[in-house]
Amino acid sequence: MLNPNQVRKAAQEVVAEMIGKKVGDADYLISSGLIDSLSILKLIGNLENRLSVTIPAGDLQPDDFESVDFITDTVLRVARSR
Amino acid sequence: MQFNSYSYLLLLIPATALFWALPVPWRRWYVLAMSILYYATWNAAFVAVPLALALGVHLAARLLIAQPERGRRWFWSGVALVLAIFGFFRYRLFLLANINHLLAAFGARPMSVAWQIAVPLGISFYSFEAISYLIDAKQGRIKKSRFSDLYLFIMFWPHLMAGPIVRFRELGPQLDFARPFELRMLLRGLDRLVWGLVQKNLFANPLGSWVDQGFLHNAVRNNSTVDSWALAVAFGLQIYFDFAAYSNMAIGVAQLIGIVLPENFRFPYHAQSPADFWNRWHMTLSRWIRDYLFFPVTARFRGSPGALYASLLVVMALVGLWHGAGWGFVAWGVLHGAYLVLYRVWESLGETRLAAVTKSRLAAWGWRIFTLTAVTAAWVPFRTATGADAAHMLAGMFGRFRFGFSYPMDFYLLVLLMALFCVVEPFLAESWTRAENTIAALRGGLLAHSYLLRPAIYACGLLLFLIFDDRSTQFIYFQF
Amino acid sequence: MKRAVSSIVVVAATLVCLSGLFALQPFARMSDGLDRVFSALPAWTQVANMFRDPTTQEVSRGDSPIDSFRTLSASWAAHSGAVRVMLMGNSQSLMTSLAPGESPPSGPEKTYPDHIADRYRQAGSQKLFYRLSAGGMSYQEMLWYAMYLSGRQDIKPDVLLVQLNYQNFVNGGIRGGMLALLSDSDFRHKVEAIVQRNGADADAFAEALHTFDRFQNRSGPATTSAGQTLGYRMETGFRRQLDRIPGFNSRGAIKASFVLLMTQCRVYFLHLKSARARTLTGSRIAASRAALADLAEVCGQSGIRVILFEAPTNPAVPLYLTPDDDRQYHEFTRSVASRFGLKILDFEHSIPAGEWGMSLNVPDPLHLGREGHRRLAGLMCAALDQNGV
Repeated sequence: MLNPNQVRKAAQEVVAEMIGKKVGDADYLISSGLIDSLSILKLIGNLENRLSVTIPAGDLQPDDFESVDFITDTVLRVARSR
Repeated sequence: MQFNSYSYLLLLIPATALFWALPVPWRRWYVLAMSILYYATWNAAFVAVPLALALGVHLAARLLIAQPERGRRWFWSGVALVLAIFGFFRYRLFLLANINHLLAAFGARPMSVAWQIAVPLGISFYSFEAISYLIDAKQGRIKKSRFSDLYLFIMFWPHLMAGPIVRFRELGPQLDFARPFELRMLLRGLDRLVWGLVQKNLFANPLGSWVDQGFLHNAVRNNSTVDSWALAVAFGLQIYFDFAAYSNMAIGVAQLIGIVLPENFRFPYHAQSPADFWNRWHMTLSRWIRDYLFFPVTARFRGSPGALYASLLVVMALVGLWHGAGWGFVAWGVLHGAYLVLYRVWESLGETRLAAVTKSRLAAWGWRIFTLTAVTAAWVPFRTATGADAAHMLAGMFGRFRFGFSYPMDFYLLVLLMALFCVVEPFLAESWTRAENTIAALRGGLLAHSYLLRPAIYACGLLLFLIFDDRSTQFIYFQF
Repeated sequence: MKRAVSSIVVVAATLVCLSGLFALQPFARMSDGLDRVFSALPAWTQVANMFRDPTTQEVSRGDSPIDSFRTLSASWAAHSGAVRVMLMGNSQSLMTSLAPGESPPSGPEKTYPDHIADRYRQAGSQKLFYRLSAGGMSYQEMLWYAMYLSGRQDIKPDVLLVQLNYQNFVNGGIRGGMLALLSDSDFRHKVEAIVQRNGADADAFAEALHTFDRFQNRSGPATTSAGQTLGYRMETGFRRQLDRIPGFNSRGAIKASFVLLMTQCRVYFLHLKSARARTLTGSRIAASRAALADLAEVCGQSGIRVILFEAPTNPAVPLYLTPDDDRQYHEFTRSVASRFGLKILDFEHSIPAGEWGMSLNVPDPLHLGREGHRRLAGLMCAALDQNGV
């Protein structure tokens, strides 16, 4: 069972790593152009490694990764442990 | 009825007034009735097409929500139905023509072209919206399918003919029409509507009349290198102004009744890369492609660059085909796919020791220039009548140089003027917003702004629209 | 309630401003202002009040020739047996730009075709003259008309005078008003034959057919626009009503003043004149040349005698960039004449510089003054007499 705080922290770190700076949990990442759709796939991969889970992305949409808040919700909803 | 027809614009005033006079629960039915009537002004019989499509999609969505264990089956049945209707109207003749080509190559008798049926307007747009509805239902984003919601989502007249392509989750919640009236809403709506009218009649149409002649079969063969470049740029500008005009009018009219539609353009010719172009050009289509096609596909092949590049090419070819049943559109899509692949390859070099090169200023400018040139070149097969014409024109632009000017000077000046406008457009938009804010901050400024300055500007825009009105032109994207 | 009032105020204020703009004619005023700033000749030198007679002129100038032909048919029917002479040309034959020193107009001004028509009428000669001109008429449009006339015995001319003008070879296409002729099925077949042959001039004809069919909804499955849809009928009704509003009909005039304003900006600020010496190359010239040859052929087959005439050019405005341009152009016109056995009347250097108008402070490359029109009419009449017309 994933811990919400742990997921949020992982999401914050992965996002900060990818865009090179810290952002607010509610800041929009995709519509603001900070992250493009292909980078989301990389983001998912990084999260999977960090949390040791599988995120089945086939039924997801880039919107589900729009902000740290959204990412946390999405991971908690769909991630399966490896 | 075109968005820029007198009848539409004049009927819009009482139609909007009546909308706001009605009690909230009646409004959705009123808007639905208006939308059906609007569609019927093109072709009354074709009202049945989006109705049938909505009924089928609703049924599939209901079943897939009610029976999750058979979800896949219902989902694919729904998608197949939409594609069958879409394909029947849109690609039947194209398919037949290509089959006949093949048959002729083998010496067989060609099949006869049965059923001369027109293509229902907007079918490409509402088919995509219907598919997105099914995908959202399958992914659990729609918990309950209500037919009236779905039908209104598809039929909502401001976006029915040529988008913006909306997701149910952004339009659905607004369809109770419960937003209270605000003057600001009306003004924002009129801003967009009037600007769209000016863009269409003053910018797009004058370019169009030159483009129509310059892209003709024999003209293409005799045009000089300068002519071909000027014409390709002219078409790029025309299609931008034309479609941005339509989108502005759609967004503006929706705003008049309190509905917010997503943006479709963000200064596309200021793109810094091929990928950036698609973040600025027909944004709701690229978002649809990204969310419902590209993301799920690439998510399955994560980590394989080959699969990623191949899917980029295939997806962009399909985007081309979506624009029309013709190989020119496919070529346009494939070219864009190739540009995207090229850019991705370059970007991946950024993760190697070449990072300093890829992130240099020179590289950034190089990509800007490449993007503009490549996008302009890609418009050639999109616009020419045949592949041979496109090849001729591209050869003239890039290799077989021929000097001279075939057309009157006014044509080249017009293209230059419009291109310059595109360059300064973002700065103009920014200054306009700043000026507005400054005026509004003055004492009494808001009143003067709303009741004097704006009406005066609207009147200037309408005057330009009226004097440049040409009834024989239509919006380019209505064909798609 | 307050909200309703605020919206009504915005819409009403917009309509009031719009009516004000229609009444004010802002572009014409700005254009006058620019002329004053740059000390241009007074506006009356560009004559607005031109002589009008639907029995000797196609008065719609290409916007609705069908109506004009109806009048012509009735007019010519009343003079059976007379020789019918028709002239096709560009705005040189429709407009007057008064030369420096010429007095302001005291009534409608006449152009050289009007003077010729007058002379024929005064002499009581059995000759009828008709001017079938439009501004910037392309050679494809001349061919278009010639093909149409050749199939209409009631308005078919015996002699067709065709203006040759170097600048005109860069014009192309068929204007919207002329498309209506396609409703004549014989004519349509002829147009289709030109398209089928796919010569250099076929493009404009193919495009004309396409545009016409799109409007008539005859093009089958590819489009669903316009035609006889409910929306189309509604729009037609609305337009009819709107055109009854006083002043609304001045849209064309306001557009013309806007275009003039743009031209003024180009000439005054950018110093780019309307007619610059140039070399003609590329697609347009190929199409124009083919159209002129086809015109000669069509007329030859249907018994219309074609006489070509080199339009006068202003000695103060060089049109040819190089001596080669001059040579090639004349070689071409002579080759068409000899191929089809046509006569060329040469008026190219017939009008002295002082009889040409001024346009935006520079010598007008195309339009004659009052005296220039008279002189050309005299020269043309004499030349026609000499050639047995």
